[in-house]
Amino acid sequence: MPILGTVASQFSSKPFGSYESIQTVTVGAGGTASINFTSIPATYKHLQIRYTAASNRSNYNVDLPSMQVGNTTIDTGNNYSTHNVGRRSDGALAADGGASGNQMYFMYVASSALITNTFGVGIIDILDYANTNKYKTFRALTGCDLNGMPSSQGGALSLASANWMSTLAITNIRFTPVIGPLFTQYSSFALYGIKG
Amino acid sequence: MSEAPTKIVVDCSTGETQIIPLTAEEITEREAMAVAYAAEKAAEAEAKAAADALKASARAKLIAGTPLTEAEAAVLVI
Repeated sequence: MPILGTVASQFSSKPFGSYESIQTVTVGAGGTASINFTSIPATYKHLQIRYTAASNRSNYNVDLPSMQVGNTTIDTGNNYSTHNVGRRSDGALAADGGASGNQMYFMYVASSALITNTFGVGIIDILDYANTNKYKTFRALTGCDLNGMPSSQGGALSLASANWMSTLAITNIRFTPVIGPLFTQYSSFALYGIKG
Repeated sequence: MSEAPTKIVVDCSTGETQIIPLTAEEITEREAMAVAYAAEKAAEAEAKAAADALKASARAKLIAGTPLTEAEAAVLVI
């Protein structure tokens, strides 16, 4: 049975503070066309983004903003792939995945133009984001619930994985509501670093 | 003339946050992204419609007792 001192020394070597806030962005009045994290330090093992967001898309109740990453600048080439399973706003269960594209789509948000004060939420993990021997892997759980409005389109849910086919370390992340075309006020994106 | 949309840029090394108007090139890029998105979704819808039509055809032939094509059989057999 360990004595008290031994227990204390065991705790002192544990990685307290291994999950740290890097930066948080909240959109102000008037909205914004994109949210950009730049100069992300390579001092963590993984990154995590937690968001609550809405766009001003006017012709549909949910929106699917894009996510792109890069090293120093955003990669806009056809170097991304995404697989996605979920329940769409029309109620259908769906699974899809495409060939490489120039952006990743897996983030559901609400459309504030049709449903006021309602936001989508999501958690996105970027694994080994600074490892220069690997392509970068993403996993995400996102969705929004619209209380059955409008006209029985109750919300959307997505469980996704994605890939950035580059061995470069990720230093930049961009979120863009390409259809929206704006993230609306009070949308918030928080970037965390996880030490390993 | 309406104001240019803005982007939020956060420098994670300094914590500095800037709100910057999009350049003409960035607006053009956004428009291209929207076109790419629409094309991708249209292709998905087209593929789904084709698969649905194939399933409907296969079901109708099964009910009628007529031979299925290989493609029709493939959509019914896992």
